This record gives sequence, structure tokens and C-alpha cells, in this order.
Amino acid sequence: MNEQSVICTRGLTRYFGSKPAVDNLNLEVPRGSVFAFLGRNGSGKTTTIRMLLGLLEPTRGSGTILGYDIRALPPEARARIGYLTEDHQLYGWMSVKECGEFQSRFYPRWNEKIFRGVIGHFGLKQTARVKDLSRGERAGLCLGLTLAPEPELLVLDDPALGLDPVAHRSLIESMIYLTRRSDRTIFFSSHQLADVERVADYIAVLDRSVLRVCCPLEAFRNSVRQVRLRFSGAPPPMPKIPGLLQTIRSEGELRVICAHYNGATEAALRALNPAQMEPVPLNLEDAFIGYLGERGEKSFILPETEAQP
Amino acid sequence: MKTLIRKELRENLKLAVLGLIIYSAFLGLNIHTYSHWMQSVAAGGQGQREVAMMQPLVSGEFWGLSGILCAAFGAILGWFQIHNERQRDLWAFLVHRPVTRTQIFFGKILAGLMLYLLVAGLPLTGYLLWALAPGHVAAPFEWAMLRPVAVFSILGMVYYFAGMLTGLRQARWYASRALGLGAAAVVSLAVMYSTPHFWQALAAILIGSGILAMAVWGGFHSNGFYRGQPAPGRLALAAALVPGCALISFFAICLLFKLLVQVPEPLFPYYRMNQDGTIYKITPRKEGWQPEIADLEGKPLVDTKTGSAPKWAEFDQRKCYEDPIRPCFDNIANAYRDPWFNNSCNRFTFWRETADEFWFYCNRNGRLAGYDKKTRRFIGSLGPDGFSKGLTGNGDHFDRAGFYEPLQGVVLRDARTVYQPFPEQRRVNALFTVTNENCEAVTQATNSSDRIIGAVNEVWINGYDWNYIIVVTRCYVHLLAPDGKELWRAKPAYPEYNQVTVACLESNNQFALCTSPSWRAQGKSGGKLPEQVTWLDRDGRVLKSADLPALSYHPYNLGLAQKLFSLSLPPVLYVTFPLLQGSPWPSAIQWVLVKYSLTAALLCLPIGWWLGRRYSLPLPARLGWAAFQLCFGIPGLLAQLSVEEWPARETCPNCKKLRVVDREHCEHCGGDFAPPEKNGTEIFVPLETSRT
Amino acid sequence: MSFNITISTGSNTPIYKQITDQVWLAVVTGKLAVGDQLPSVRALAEDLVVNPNTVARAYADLMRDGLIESRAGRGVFITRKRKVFTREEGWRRLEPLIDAAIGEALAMDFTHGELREAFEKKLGQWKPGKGGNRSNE
Repeated sequence: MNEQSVICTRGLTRYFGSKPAVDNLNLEVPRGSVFAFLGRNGSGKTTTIRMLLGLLEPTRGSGTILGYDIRALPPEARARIGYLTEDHQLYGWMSVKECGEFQSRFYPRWNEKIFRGVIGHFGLKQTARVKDLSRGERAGLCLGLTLAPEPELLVLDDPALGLDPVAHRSLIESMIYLTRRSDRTIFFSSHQLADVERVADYIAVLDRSVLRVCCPLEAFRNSVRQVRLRFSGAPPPMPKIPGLLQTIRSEGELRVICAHYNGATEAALRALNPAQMEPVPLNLEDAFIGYLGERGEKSFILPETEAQP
Repeated sequence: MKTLIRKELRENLKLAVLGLIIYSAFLGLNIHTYSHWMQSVAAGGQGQREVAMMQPLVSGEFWGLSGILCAAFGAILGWFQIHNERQRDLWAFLVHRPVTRTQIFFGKILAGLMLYLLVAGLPLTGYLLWALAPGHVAAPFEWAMLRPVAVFSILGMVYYFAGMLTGLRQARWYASRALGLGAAAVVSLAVMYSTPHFWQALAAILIGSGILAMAVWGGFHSNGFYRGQPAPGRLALAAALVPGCALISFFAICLLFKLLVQVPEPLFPYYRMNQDGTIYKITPRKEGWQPEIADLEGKPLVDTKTGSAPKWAEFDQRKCYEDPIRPCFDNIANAYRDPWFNNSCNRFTFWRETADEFWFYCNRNGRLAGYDKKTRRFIGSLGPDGFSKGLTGNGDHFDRAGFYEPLQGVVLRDARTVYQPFPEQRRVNALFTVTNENCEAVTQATNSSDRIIGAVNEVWINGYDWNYIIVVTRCYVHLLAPDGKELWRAKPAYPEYNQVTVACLESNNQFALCTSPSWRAQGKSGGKLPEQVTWLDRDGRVLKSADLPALSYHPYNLGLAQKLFSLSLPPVLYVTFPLLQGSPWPSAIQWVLVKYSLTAALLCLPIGWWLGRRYSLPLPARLGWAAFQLCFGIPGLLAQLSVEEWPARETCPNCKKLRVVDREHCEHCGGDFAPPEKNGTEIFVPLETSRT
Repeated sequence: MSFNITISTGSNTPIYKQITDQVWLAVVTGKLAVGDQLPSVRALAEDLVVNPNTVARAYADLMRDGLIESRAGRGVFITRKRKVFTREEGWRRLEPLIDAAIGEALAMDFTHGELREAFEKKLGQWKPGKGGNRSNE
């Protein structure tokens, strides 16, 4: 296990019933990075995060977080890890001030300025009760409570869920702000690909409980390419090309999305004898959807219209 | 941790206040009912005179409902403290902070127990202050009377932890979660019925709370699951569920028993004397059938008019009046060894009431204590030496009424004299004394406080003269007129005989004296000692006497029911139970029950072992469960089924057998778990840290 | 400095490329002159709300291309364009851009002649030489 990794898992597996929710996860998160953890709903992201934080017992496998075994996290580990849950749940009867006081008594390294700063940034009143706050305001409060102890590792589970655009922007700004210190790491799961594009250094993608991608963001973008093949007649059937993700067939053309696009892939496509072959640029969202969507072929050929009388 | 305690106190304050209000309302209602009743009594109202009504502290309503309220509040509070963080993310918020789970656990329970003590203790203290202040309750008070309500209040602690466990456990069915409450229920039953000494009751509560608390502590470590908690937590959790499972298996077997087995009631014959002194032998038959009536030779009785057996209802009307007495010559303390629970509630009995006063017999000092109905204040006490302003007089006391002696008798007695108290006149009249002349045992007595009189009873003569008195001494049975004049005396054979029945035979102005042997004496002789009957005329001269073969002795036999119950209950119970009580059964019987229970336990062992093998539990775990099932039998097996989280099983590609998924390698062939199949689209790039 | 960089997510162009393209465009159109200062990596990152590594990469590319230089202690400045490319390298970079322009034009049914005219016109507007500043007309 690399000393430079803040999170390292070996074969981490969790079963619910007879199906694995997380299957043989080998993940390494480098220190000082912003690491995005992606996947469709139900692919196992939250389960992984819960296991990493000692809230759920793995069925099999092991992991370390900040060097501590995840099955036995001591209090000093928890002092260095900040955890933001997706629901931003807090005690409804507490006021903002009481939340701050409650939290501050547990952490020796509590920075009241940061807490006040975040609270002020989100426009929260000290006397407001948590149950009267909107979702975005609650998110801001939770963020303040999590950032004030100045954690080395920040673990965020879908932090932008349900946030209004202003709160959303504030959240991303806080994450960028955190990167000022090079020993701080952020590990977050999200569905907001715009956020991922902005802030992530590395991404990992869980596809139905299996880790299939773990690389820098640019490597993912470079690896997944889309190519349009135009044919004079009907396009031929698509052969099995390694790394093929999706094929879209329409009148006289095939659009192919491939992972690991390289010379061999290009040669295999040329072998189909297209009249024209050109790359189609992909943005991150399309690349991601292409990667995680339904594999196989989609056809947009309209059925023959009936002969006119 | 102080922060946690403060937060818990604040969070559950509303519930505590609600509990406080309800409990105070209940106790206030209790006070109001009593005062209202006393006022109506003082104004001349009639009605029930029960000890429970007159001293609210010993009434079942008081401590019973108090106990129920405390238990309910305890369970609800414990459950609520967990329910407050029912949201998984809120639990994560609580747990993900730099304190150990043990500290979080203690934070919660210290706050909870503080609130519980407040809610259970404050209203009760107020109530006690009311009850103890003179002029409020017109009945005797002893501190021992507070034991039931104290124990039931503390019992709420067990329910507190049980409620917490119910909220905490991640179990598929809610019923399985509620098994913890079964443990609390069993502790309640044990405290009431199975712990003869007070300290044992407290110990039971302590042990029960300890096990449940340990199970809750373990649950905090593992977020409510079974796996992932330290070993003491797992053991405590399994042990905590055993009583609930025992209740389930017990009721299941009861149900099965009721549905399948029809065990006939044992039908034992008995003797019956008619008003003319003739004795018949009655043999009951099945329900709905008339009992058989036969004379002493065995010839069935035949009604001369109808030619067949007489109707039972008619026959029954000709029964003679008889009064049974059980004389007791032992030290009273030995004779009355009640379990602490009954003892606490029976500290005094209601003796009599006059127009303005209540008079009670206090067991402790053996005197009659009087209370004024209107002022509800203590008046004074009556003893053999007369009235005294204090409770103890000069140590003179009446003996406590024994079995079959009337609690509200006209007469009371001490070791040698029978007295007639006159409470309105504040005096006591000595009616009859045993002396050398009327009893040889007096001269033989070594100690002046040896009991010569065994019992007194009141009889009706001729069906309408009452207040005639029977006195049973070591030598004779005396019949006294209401003014104390002896009418006759007769000599039965005892001390092996401890049941004396005097029958007044109206139709021919005679008496019959029947004496039966004690259970122990019969047991020693193997059921061979006869019952003695002596017929006497009006003046006590013996007319006739007869020995009847004993019918009413039946050696203790284990019924099918008890055998079946012992199958459903843990062996460890049958082993420890006699240690607590001193066995109520002979040791041979005890051993039979232990054998049945162990058989059931041994049958559970292979099932538990097979489950362990199927799911590849590690060997220490399998051995642990085997030992557990040996101790606890069927409930142990049920507990294992409720508690264990069985891992899924998959086919191993190497050896093609089913293997569990929670081990690093296959348990059959040692093969690794293969990583999931690649599909050619994986993008993995070695990560390097690159920050500028 | 009236020069602002804006980036948008969800574009076909990665963010670092958007930054470098905008800086290039600014230099080429004259919005940025030699000697102008660019914001620091951290400042630009926080302004654009992007990962500083992205900005760092953009700046590294620009530095490699010789457009900007880092002066110790003082920041990042536009510098004289040095000839970093060989002619071949330069052509290799230019060809796809020319191909793209021609391809688009022909697809829109412009003729070769029209295209040539448009090129000549544009060239007239642009002053030849280092930096290539647009003349004010």
C-alpha cells in the first residue's frame, strides 16, 4: 500500500443478500488529489463510502484510510476525516449556533473563523433552527461543520444533491478553496458531471458494483472517442472490436463510441470500408453516458412507409 | 462526553416531561381515590374492607400499575434515544466524531438513566411523602412495604435497555427485534415469583440490565448488526434473546399441548361426612358425570325411593358443617417463610372495624393497631396486656393467625392463652388459659414461651349459635362457649397429625373430630397412616372411633405438561432454579426434568453444528454455539437463528462446491475469489500525484 | 486589463484547452500584448472555479509553446513569441485547421474562387509579422 495514498482498498466486497453491492474493489486515492467517484444510482458508491468510514462491515477484503484499518477506525482517525452525507441530516431541534457549539467541543482543532465564514457565505442566521432551514441552507451548515475542524481528508457523498445553483456554486468554491493546502484530499461521489469536469483530478467509475475506470480525468476523455462512419449503402454489421461501447446505426452511417481508442481500433474500423470516417468530439457527459449506458447497438432506421395509393 | 449527555437530555426532555405528567397524574388519582373512599368510610359508608384498599402502598393496583408505567416509559425512552437517529445519515453524523463508541454509548445511557430516575422517582417521592405523613393514610406502615414498588421502579431500567436494543438491532423482522423485551419480561416474572429473597430480586435486575446493556454496547460498535461487534457484545446479545425465545418455545409447546393432547384431570376419591355422622367415600368422575357415592365398605349408595344413585345436588345438601384447623407448634418465623414479594404485601391484616375506628393486626409486633377513621391517625395498640399508646406495648403480642384460622376472628391467642379483645373499650379479656390441670404438656415445657396452643377457630353450633371456640393444644381439642367456659375436651393423636377438623352434627347433637396426618409424615410412611375419626356426644364423651385408610395422600407425580415444558426451557434453568428456592420437588423428580431438558438441548446441538458447517463459521464460533445450545436448549437454537447473519454462498469455479462469500479464500479448495470478469472496456492508469 | 477568460463545462473542448485557446486568441487579436501579466494559477483557478491543476496544465502548455513565461516572485507574463516550432511542426499544426476551414466552406457550397477571395481579404486585414496584431481600421 502506497504511503502516498490516503485511501487504499484491497478486494473490498460487500454483499446484501446474495448479490454483491461492491465487488472486489481495489482503489487507491493519492494524497492531495481531488478524486471523483462516479457511477449510476445503485452501483455501490454510497456502500463503498460507508465501508471506508467504518459505518458498514465489509463482507470480504480490507482497506485503509489515512493508514488506519477501516474495520477499526480509532477516534484520532475520525478527527482527521470530514464526512458530508448526501442528506445533510442534522438534529432538527438544534439551532445553527448550537450545532456549531456541539461540534466544536469534540474537535481539538476547531477553526471558528472557517465555520463563521461558511455560515455567513450561505447566509444563515445563528438562531435559526435546523428544521426551518431549506435544503441548501442545511447543506451549508453541514459544510461548515465539516470544514471547521480542518480535516485532512474530506469525504463527500453526493454533496450537490438537491442544491439550488447558488448553494451549488458555493459548494464547489469551498472545494477549490480546500485545495490551497497540498496535503488535503477530497474524495467525493457525484452525478454532476459539470462539477467533476471543473474540480476532479482523478475519476473512478463503478459499473454495477465493479470498478471499471480509475484514471486521471484527461485520460478518460482521451480514451473514450466517438467516430462517425459514412457508407454509400446500408452500413455493414458491426464486428466485435475490443473496447467497443456503443454503436448507433442510422441511414447510411454508423456512429461508434469506443474505449481505448488506438491504432488497432482505427484499423479495425477502416476495415469496414466506410466512404468517410471522421472523429466526432465528445464532451465529458456524452463520454460518461456512452461508457455507462446500455452496451450494444441502437438503431434509428425508420420502418418502411406504406406504399401510397 | 458531557456534550453528548447534555444533547441527549435536551433531546429527550419532552418525552420525560410527558412521562412525568402521566405518572404524577396516575399517582394523584390514586391519592384522590383513597381520600375519597376514606371520607365516605368516615361518613358511615359500607363496602369492601381489603388491605389493598386501606393501605394503597401494598395494593396490586399501585405497584402493579406503577411497574407497568415505569416499564413502558423505560422501554419507550430507550427506543426513542435510538429512534432519534433513525436516519442513517444522522447516525453517521453522531458516530463519525473523534470519540469511541463506548463513550457515545455511555453518553446516551447516562442521560437516559438520569431522565428515567427523575421520571420514576420524583412523583413516587411525592406520593410517599403524602402516604407517610400522619393523618393521611389510616393503616400501618412499614418500610418493607415499599420493596415491591421500589423493585418495579428499578425494573424499568431493564426495560430501558431492552427498548434500546429493540431500536438498535438491524433485523429483518420487527418481531425479532422485540425479543429483547422478552428478556425484560422474564426478569419481571423472576422478580415476582422466583426470587425468594429480596437481594436475589435485586441481583436478577442487575444481571438482566447488565446483559442487555452489554448487548446494546456491542450494537453501538457494529451499528446494530451482529457481525462486527466485539465478542462480549455478541455473547450478551445472544444471551439477551434467549429469554424471549424461551417464551416463544414455551408458548408454542403450550399451544401444541392444548391442541393435541387431552390429559384427563386426575380424579382422587375423598371422604364426606353427612349431618348424621355417617361417612361416605366419594369418587369423582369425568366432567359432566355425577360422582360415585359409596359407603365405607364400598357398597354404592342407593336411594330407597328411586332405586338408583341419589342426585348429587341433593346429597350435597346433607353435608355436615365442619371447620378445619391446622395447628402449628413451631416457631412462627419458621412457619411463615414467604418469598419477599408476598412478605412485603402481607405485613398486616385487617382485623375489624368499629363505628369510628379501623383495627389491624400487625405481623411484626403481633399487636392490634387502631386508626381513627376521621382523623386517620394512629390511636394505639392492643396486646394481651391491654392497650398501649405505642406500637409495641411492653413486648406482649398475639400469635399470628395460621392457615384456616380466621383473620377477623373474635378471639386471638398467644402461646398459652386465648383472648377476646374489645377495641372500643380499649381492653383485652383473657378467655381461656392452658395450665397444668388442663394440659400435661405445660409441665413438660422447657421454655415458658413454648407454644402450647396450636390454633383457635370459631364454629357454629346447631347452625345458628356462633362464636363458640375450638382450641387445639398439644394435648387436647377443647370446645369453649362464647364466655370461655369449656364444654368438652378430646384427645387426638399428634404431632404427626396436623389437620384437625371438628364437625358439628346437627341431626343428633353430636360432634365428630377428624385428624389427618401431615404431608411429611405421610410421605415418610409411604401413604400408610390412617385418618382418625372420633365421635363425641354433647359433653365430650367418646361414643365411637374409627381409622380410615388415607385417601388424600398422592405422591408428587410429574404430569405430561411439565415434561413437555422442560423440553422447551433451557437446561441451565433447571439446574439453577433449585439453588435459588431450595427445590420444591424431590431431587429424583428434579433430575427427570433436567434429563428432559438436556435431551432437547442435545438434539439442538447437531442442528446448530450443521448450520455452522454449512455457512463455514470458524471453529471457535461453532464450538461457542455448541456450548450455548447445550446450556440453553431450544431457546438457544432459536437465538442463534435470530442473531446470526448468514453469509451468501456461491459456486466456486475451482472445486464447483458452494462456498461462503465472507472468507478470503474458498474453504474447500483454498482458491481465491476471482476478480469480476473484465469486458475489455476498463480504463486503468497508474496514478501519480501531480500537484504544482 | 480588459481580458477575461470564461470557460464552460459540457463542451467538447477540455477546460485546459479552452484556457489556452482563449489566451492564444487574445494574444493574436491584440487584447493581450507582450509584457501583460496573467493571473496566478491559484487566482485564476479560484476565479474560474476550476481545479488549479487544470490551470497549471494550461499555463504549462502555453509556456511550452513559448507564449508566456514565469518571472520568479512576480508572476506570469506574456512574452515574445519564440520560434519553438520547426517548420514541419508548424505545418503539422496548421494543416488540420486549414482542412477544417476548407471542409466547412465546401460543405456550404462555397466555390474555390470565393474561398480564395475570402482568404485574401482576411489576410489584408491582418498585419504580417511577429505576434500578428490586427490593424485598426
